[in-house]
Amino acid sequence: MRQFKFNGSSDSGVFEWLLQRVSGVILILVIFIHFFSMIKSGDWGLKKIVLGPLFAFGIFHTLNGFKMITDDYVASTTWRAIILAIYWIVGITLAVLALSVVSSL
Amino acid sequence: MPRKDLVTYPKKVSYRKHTGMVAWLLHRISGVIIGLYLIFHILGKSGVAEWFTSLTANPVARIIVLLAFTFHAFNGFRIVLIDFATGSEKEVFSKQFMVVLFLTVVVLIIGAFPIFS
Repeated sequence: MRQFKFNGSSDSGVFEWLLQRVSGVILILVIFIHFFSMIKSGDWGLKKIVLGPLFAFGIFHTLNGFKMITDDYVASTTWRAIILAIYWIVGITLAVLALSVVSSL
Repeated sequence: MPRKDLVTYPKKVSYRKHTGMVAWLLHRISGVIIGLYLIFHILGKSGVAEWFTSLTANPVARIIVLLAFTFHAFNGFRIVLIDFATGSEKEVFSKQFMVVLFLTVVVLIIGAFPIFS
């Protein structure tokens, strides 16, 4: 069992894995609406019902994806913790900025 | 000599030299492109990095983003299907990947017309 020590429990990360799939499917819909609407008039693409989930799930999906890449390539637990903290700071900053963009519309 | 404390898998289930390996790599690359685009898109629209907004007005940049997003979206949907519906049989893997590439090209062509017109 020594090789499994400090690897977490068997169900750790399940919530992130599931939410990555859920957010991905939602993002497919809202980004296509946003992208193709912005090429034309932009009426639909700038609606809060499109931009809200786009920013919320987009920030989560992006940073959770970056975390997955970090987990794959960074072996040191200390460096993983540092990089994860940076992702949290970037995520919260982006969420605040995105909220200001949506509220100004 | 393999280390005894490492978990190893038999060669037949290896992820290397497989369509899934290509799909996995392209998914990562396209994901990083879209992720960085989203981050700078928010920074640009909120006024922190306005230079990025003018950079993405370029049609070629838009096509690259559309290509990355379209592939990532369809391949992501394929991953969801593998996880919850179709499983990871090698034959199904290859066929699904071909469908992903086909749909990516179709949407790219549809999207290219309004971008360049």
